[in-house]
Amino acid sequence: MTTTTSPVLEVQGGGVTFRDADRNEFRAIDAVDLQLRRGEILGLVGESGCGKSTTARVLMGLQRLTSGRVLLDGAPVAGGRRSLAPRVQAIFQNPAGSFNPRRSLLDSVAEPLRVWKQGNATERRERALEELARVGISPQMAQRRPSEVSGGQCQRAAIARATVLRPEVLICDEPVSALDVSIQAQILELLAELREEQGLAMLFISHDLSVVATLCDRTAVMYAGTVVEQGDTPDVTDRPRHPYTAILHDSVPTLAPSASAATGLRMRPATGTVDGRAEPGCRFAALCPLVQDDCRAARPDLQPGAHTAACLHPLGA
Amino acid sequence: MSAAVPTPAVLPEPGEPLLRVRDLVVEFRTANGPLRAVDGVSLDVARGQRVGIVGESGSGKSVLSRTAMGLLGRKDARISGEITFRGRDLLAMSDKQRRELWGREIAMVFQDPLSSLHPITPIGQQIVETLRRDPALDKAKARARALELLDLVGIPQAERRFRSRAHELSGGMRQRVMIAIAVANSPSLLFADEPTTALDVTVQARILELFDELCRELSIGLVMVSHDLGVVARHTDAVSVMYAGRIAEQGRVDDVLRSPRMRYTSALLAAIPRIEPGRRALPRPIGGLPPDLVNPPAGCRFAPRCAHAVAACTDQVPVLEPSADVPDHAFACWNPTEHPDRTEVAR
Amino acid sequence: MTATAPVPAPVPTPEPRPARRRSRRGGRWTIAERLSAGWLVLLVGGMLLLPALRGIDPLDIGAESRFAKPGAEHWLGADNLGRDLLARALDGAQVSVLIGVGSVLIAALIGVPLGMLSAYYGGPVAAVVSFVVDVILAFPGLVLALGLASFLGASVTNVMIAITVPMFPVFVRLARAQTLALLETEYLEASEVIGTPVLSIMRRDVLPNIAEAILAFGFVSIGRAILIEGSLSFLGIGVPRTQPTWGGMINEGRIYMTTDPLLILVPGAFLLLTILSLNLISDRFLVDGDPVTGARA
Repeated sequence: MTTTTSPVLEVQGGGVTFRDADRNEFRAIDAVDLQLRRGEILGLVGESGCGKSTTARVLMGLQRLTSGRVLLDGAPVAGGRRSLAPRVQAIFQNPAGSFNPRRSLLDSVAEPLRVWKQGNATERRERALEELARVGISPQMAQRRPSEVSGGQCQRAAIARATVLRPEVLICDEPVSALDVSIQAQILELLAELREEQGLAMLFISHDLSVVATLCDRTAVMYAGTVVEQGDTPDVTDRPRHPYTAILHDSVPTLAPSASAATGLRMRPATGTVDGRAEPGCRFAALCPLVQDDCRAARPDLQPGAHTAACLHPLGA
Repeated sequence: MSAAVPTPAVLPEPGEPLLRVRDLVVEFRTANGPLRAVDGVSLDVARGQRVGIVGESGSGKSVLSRTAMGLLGRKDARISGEITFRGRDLLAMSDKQRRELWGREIAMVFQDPLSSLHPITPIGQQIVETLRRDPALDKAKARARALELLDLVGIPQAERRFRSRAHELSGGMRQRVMIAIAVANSPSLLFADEPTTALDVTVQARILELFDELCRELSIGLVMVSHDLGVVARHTDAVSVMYAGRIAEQGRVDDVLRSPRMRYTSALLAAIPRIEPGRRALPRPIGGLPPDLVNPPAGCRFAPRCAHAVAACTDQVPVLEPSADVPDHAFACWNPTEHPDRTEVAR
Repeated sequence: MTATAPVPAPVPTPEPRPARRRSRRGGRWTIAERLSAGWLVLLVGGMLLLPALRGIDPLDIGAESRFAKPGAEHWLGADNLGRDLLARALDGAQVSVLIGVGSVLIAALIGVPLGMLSAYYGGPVAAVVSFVVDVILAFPGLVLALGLASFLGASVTNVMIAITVPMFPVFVRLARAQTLALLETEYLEASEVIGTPVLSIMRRDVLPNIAEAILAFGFVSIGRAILIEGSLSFLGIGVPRTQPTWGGMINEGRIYMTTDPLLILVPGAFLLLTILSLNLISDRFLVDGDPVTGARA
């Protein structure tokens, strides 16, 4: 699945540092490299606070990088979100929350067309209805407000709003986390269809490795602000190289008592709050069950390659 | 609707169960008419047994557990049926009697520990306060016991953490504190309502192991409410799968999740994304939406979404009945999966 | 536990709490609300129609009707110069309503956009705006209005300026707090990702969703503005004395308080009923009542 096509959207060495009122610096993300290619879904998985949402906001144009750059078709993106807007669109975690509560779904889906001055009001309406029908929202349902439809229907409408401008990239920030299992599967199916039909490049962010494993072509694992492992999804989930990925994999509650390929690794018990970002060496060193002395000294980088891990002593090496 | 009071499929150990729920109906009044959130549910929990209640949103699992805990009473909803805790009628109790049970014999852990913990009082103090409900315990002893409890729930450096406030702890640590408070007075029954939903998956794994240990060592009866079948599969003994206010299937976890009979259970299992070696397959969605409980469909409530519905499904309510070969595995389905292939569903 | 970001402590925001989005608009009218609305309709109707219908000039002096009791000729009696109290109260209502509604409108037109934009942009814009707001709000509203009015001199316009200046910062704060609460929602981010220009987001996504709270606060503020106007006129530094106002009437009637209480009761009742009605009506938009506790103009 290693593609040779050049990425549509790309972040190179992306870093975002926040400063709070006391001038304390917080590196939300650091040296993040990601490439989104046409017709490919890249999964970005990690736990809360690992920086995956900041990464999403950078790619949506909602957050400026403090270091590194974002490239669209190989050209650096200058300026804010309007330089990305028609070509990069997004869906969010909270289905109803991503719609103006006072407007009908139809209005909201037609809004991008209005903003980008496409067609007259009637044509925009037609286009919006068409797009809504494609995701399974009837014209009658389209008249309702977000609070009057279910979460799954809202998320369908959100997809319609994101695709109505025919973007090339879709950023999905935890799009199924708020949904019930049966509805979640419907949305995953819809996203997979979009990849096939429109050849969209997608970034799919989730805290749930199993969701990523079923949908995404490639997977990147984030930990403490940076990507620690990335590769084709089956490689990452079946043969994890970074101990953190292995532990993440084993932590997913499975239905079978003896799950597949359990590495049996566990995090070392921490004595206090562990801040991986403050570690001088590997960010995972304080919790890593396989830590060695050199891990604490040098920070391992993610080497370029089909399946790589930012680890000095990767598993299966 | 359902004719006889169904007996729960999961038979408890000999003797009186800890918690006994029989034909429970909880009905709310809404602007559009009465809404039956729970419709004829029976359930037993024995000492040391871990019982899972799973379902999607609107299935009634939370209403069921809240009613069983006594958090929802006759003044909040129209309730019929029977809930007994060690033979005492919970529904007939006064608020005062119920409050005496809580924190002593019945304890609870919720999804969001931050809103359940006091923001300013140090966590050690909060445990001490719970312990001091036992008048026999003096301050020094309570403090010693609180430290023991922090240690028990796996909080390192208990001595130092004793003075921490809730917001200084990580989500997992907070939930551990909640569990310490819950088990402080050695309850016999513990309700856990989505206890790990707000936690990271690596943290969740540890917290679930903690529940396992506590149930085993303190022989606490556990009711675990969750939307996550995976959580229930590995960390409970018996499970009730709920759909639209009713129990769809009930029995030992191994029976229900490995060889589901009711069509909803098998559809739900197929809808869960799984990590499968060497294969990337999307989960199979269940079409449609859960029914409106103010105007529920006649017959089986899952029938409108069911790919295997037969004529009976749409007009007759299926009764929760034990299966012929496994007597403590009950399901309510007119057209159940006949010869469940154990390997097909649970991998 | 895990090496995650430090958990941010829940710090109470210094901003006034955003009003809860729990409006009863469209719900049933309570009796108090019906009475309030009734009074306001009666007041405005009377103010517009009655002088024309009855043809009584509020400035007409008549020696024969001095201190007249309420009756067919003078429905609510007459004052020390024989002027009709009802006609004067209704004439005063025109000034009060003009000043009340006018100064609140101006305060809102200045304050709401400032609040919205400072919430949206943050940074130096917000710092400057909130500095100005804090400076103005450091003065007690009435004292500031008094100072401004006596400095500017007696005229309707000057009274409006004197009321608007201490009032608009509260609208800034309210709009800012409400907008900040909205910024947490995903739909503003969704609008940004679409590429919607900022002004369009403000107009289409923010304003309609904070309008309820602003409207509710606006109604309460009209009452407050009328009260300040009354106070200024009572002290003789408001509207020119030739123009009847409620505050002015109370001031003039003060010396007859023991002998002819009607002289202050009539304007007092108009003032009280109007402010009470406005406050009650504002509850229709907001169950919580005053959305800006502790930050009154």
